Amino acid sequence: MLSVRDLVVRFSTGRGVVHAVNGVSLDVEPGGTLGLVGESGSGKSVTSLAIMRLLPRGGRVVSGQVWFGGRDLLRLSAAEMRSVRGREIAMILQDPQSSLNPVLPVGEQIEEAIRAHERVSRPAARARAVELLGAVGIARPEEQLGRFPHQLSGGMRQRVMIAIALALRPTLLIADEPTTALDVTVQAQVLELLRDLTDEVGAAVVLISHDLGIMARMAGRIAVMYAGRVVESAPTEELFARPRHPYTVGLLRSIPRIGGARRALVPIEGSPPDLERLPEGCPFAPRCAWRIEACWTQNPSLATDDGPAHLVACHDPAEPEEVGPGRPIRPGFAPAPPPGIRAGVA
Amino acid sequence: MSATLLSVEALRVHIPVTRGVVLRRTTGVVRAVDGVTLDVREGETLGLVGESGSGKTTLGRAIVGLVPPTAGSIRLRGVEVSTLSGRGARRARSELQMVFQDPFASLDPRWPIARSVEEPLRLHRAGDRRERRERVLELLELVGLSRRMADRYPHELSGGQRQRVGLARALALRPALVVADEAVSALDVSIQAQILNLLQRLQEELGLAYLFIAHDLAVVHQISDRIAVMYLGQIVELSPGVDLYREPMHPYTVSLLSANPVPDPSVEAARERIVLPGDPPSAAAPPPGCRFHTRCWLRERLGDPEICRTLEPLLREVGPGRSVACHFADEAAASPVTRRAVDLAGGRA
Amino acid sequence: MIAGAVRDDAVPRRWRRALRQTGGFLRASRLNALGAGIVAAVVLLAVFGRALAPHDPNHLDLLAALKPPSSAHWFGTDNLGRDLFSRVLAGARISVEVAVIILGLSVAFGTLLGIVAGLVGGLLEEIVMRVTDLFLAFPAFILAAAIAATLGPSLNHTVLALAVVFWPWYTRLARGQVLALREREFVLAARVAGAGTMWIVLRHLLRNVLPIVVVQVSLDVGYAMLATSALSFLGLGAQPPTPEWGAIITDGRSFIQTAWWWPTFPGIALAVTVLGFNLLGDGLRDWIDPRLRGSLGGLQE
Ligand SMILES: Nc1ncnc2c1ncn2[C@@H]1O[C@H](COP(=O)(O)OP(=O)(O)OP(=O)(O)O)[C@@H](O)[C@H]1O
Ligand SMILES: Nc1ncnc2c1ncn2[C@@H]1O[C@H](COP(=O)(O)OP(=O)(O)OP(=O)(O)O)[C@@H](O)[C@H]1O
Ligand code: SF4
Ligand SMILES: [Mg+2]
Ligand SMILES: [Mg+2]
Repeated sequence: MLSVRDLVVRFSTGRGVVHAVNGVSLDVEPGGTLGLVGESGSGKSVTSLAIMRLLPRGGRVVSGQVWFGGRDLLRLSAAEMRSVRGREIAMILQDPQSSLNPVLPVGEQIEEAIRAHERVSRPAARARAVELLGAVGIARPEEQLGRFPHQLSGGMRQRVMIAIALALRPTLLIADEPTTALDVTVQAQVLELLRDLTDEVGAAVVLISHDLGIMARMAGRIAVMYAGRVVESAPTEELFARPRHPYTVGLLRSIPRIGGARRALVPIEGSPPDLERLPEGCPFAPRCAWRIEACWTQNPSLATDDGPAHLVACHDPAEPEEVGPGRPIRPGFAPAPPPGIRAGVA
Repeated sequence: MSATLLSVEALRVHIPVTRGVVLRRTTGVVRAVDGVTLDVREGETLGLVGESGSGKTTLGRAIVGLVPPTAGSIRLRGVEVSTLSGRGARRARSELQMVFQDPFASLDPRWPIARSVEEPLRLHRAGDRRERRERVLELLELVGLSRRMADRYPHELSGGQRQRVGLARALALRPALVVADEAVSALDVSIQAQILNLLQRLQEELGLAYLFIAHDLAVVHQISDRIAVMYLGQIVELSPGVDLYREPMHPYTVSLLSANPVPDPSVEAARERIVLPGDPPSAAAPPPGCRFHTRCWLRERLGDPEICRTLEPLLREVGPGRSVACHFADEAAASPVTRRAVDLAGGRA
Repeated sequence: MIAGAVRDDAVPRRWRRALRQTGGFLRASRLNALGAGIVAAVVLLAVFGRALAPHDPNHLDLLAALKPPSSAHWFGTDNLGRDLFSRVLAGARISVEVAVIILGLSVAFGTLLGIVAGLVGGLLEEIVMRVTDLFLAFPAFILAAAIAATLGPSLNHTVLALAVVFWPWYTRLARGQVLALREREFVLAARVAGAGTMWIVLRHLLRNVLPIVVVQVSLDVGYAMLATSALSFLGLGAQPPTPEWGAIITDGRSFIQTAWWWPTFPGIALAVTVLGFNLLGDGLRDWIDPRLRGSLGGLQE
């Protein structure tokens, strides 16, 4: 259904070129849910905006293809793309604050979204808006239609955004952190709504979130991004049971859990690389406890590992027994780059 | 047990809702916070969870003085702060600070971050320029930012770095209590872990108390000593964190636990979530009797006892440091539904 | 020690940033550079035009009446023998002055009213917004013409009339911005830190509203000049012998057959100036927008 091939996106800024996305490939089947996780700034939002052809100023797709319904979206005319957006592909933007117009009542904004694509009367659009708000769990939707965004709680604003995205029953939904401001029961309700979309309509969903619990619940497959690349991709069960990339391992170690005694969290050390000056080797090497000499000099490519469905981009993947806390002790650990190689930390 | 720092009593915040363009008329009041009583002790973290729209933000904002209370009292070390005005209020409130949710919106985009951190110092005329500058740099270091970042603009920082700036600003006036409203919700997990560790370190070093508002129960569990659960403007359960997760006593708490996603696909696959039937009731017209009765799963299982619909359960002490507002708290705690939710939330399938 | 070092660095850093941004803006599009160039030229001519003018713009020389463009009179002369080149240069100053006054009045009044309305809310906001609605319900130019006609023909009255027409736009603009900013967490943070309304208006809101107002101003300058000239053209604005472009065009209109240069050159000057400001304004708007709406705002295709 959606197939992204070797997508490269760069931003030209006053200071230099930001290598935001560096060769991302993704596939989502009809009715499937792909989870996209990764560090802040790893290019999740930029990837999804590039798919929608809604890159912010300064950003451009340097190469790659985005196949959707037999067409390469990157080659459509602006008018064709406009009719794809909203109707066939909908997106829930990460920042609900800036995606709602502060001076218009929310009802009007939903109606507008409906009427932009369908010739329906105002009352009909209004009725649909009421129905949609109900579907995303907003009580007494008629009352809320006339409210302005600032009169709603954070969670309600987010659900209004979701209602707008669902208004046209899209076949592909890209949801960028759709539930960050919602309490867990409403979150569950919204996630079920997304699941209905995949189960009943056969729509595909790309779900971006840093909540691994949500991923465990929703995603059939998870792609982990780091520094603008997919570093690991596997079916959900497999990824949680046998994480191979050291970054994925670090991610799993840094989440708090309810069960058992409280333990100190182990954040990943260091900071992500400067995307204006990417290192020659693996971008995760400076923070990695598994790094060997090759990690400093060659950027590993995404290749199969542990069976055809599990892809990982790492020279020296973690073994299952190393997933628990503590540093792996490996022969060949290379703390510093060999002479003449830039470490590339920000 | 340490001394009480902040005590909130019977606090109500009612917000009038207006409608109409030419003639604006009040069509009702939203009872965003409707009778909340709680204490925060010196140096502790009180977690606050609850349904979206239940009034957590409003409660936090009322405490720091951003919204005026309709009734009730907010006392800081015994001194009423909600009715103070002028200079006295300012001084008292400087001890109550807030960290906001959105790392993009919480810093003025046109100010270098040092200026944002300095703002509270300028407002309180603390020191001269040079002293303030020195203090700002100290604060930045305290939250783990390099001094060299002082003159950067917010858009030049990552979300996690901005959140640290927000924290530095909140600490500028040496507060006793920091209200953190979803302060880590927008951050990715490894940065979230860094900030949580930072909050804990600062608490130890500075003796801070936190009112920590969040949705993620695991995050709240990680940082809180005690946890309060809010529903429709009221606190329905308040317990030490361990007890709340091991033995929840309010049906709403149980449904929260049952909905909390667990980072383990096998647990998630085995999950039956308690679906709360119907709509969340309106905060403008809360249901009579128990506010949760319209959606309570326990009431149904108990054969719809009339008391739930007629008598409002008060928050009552049920054990050391544990309070709950439910007529059938013991039944709730003993229910197999509860046991199952607790097991799954703890990652045991 | 370190504090001093960092502080010394702060000022040049801000300047460097401004320079870099200006450079970025000019390079972003060729039209931006063209617009900025035209505007710079017009402003320079407005300031130094009188000194550069080869003749006194009001000097009559009946012997040299209605002369076509030549090396002595680049734009030719009118029926009273006045040098049109000098008059067009002088007109640049008038146009710029007029635009500055019109926009100065309407921006100062409109923006402040909008900010206060947005911040205070309630009945005040309601009244202010209804009044702006009232003004905006009339077609702008007709309203201005009506006001100018009522007050009587004169350049000052024209300026006043146009200021009356322009302010409600700024009120709306500023109020909309304030509504968006008011709930922004940095404003709340300032209040938690103990800031009062004045502090927030002066230090946070104005600075964040201003860039958008500046964009709107640069778009409106062109319209203000055009409208002034149009009112003068209708006989409501500048009166002879003021070398206002619209007034010169009116005078020369009936001579278009015999002395084409008379209405043509001031017409070109007016058109180019309006174009310059519009290009600049459009460019500024496109360029500034995404920055103001946060990281994911300002989506473009
Ligand atoms: N308009 C822009 N100009 C320059 N660089 C940009 C722009 N937008 C994004 N970037 C850069 O592109 C990179 C990827 O950003 P992106 O927003 O996709 O991250 P993300 O994975 O969605 O992170 P988060 O989890 O924080 O949302 C970042 O380093 C960011 O700084
Ligand atoms: N300015 C306002 N005007 C009208 N109603 C308001 C206003 N601010 C808040 N409310 C209402 O008050 C109630 C409580 O809102 P609040 O923001 O405190 O909830 P919350 O618990 O923080 O929710 P969330 O978890 O979604 O952030 C909601 O019903 C909300 O709609
Ligand atoms: S009092 Fe009754 S309705 Fe309310 S929570 Fe307890 S059992 Fe449910
Ligand atoms: Mg993102
Ligand atoms: Mg809130």
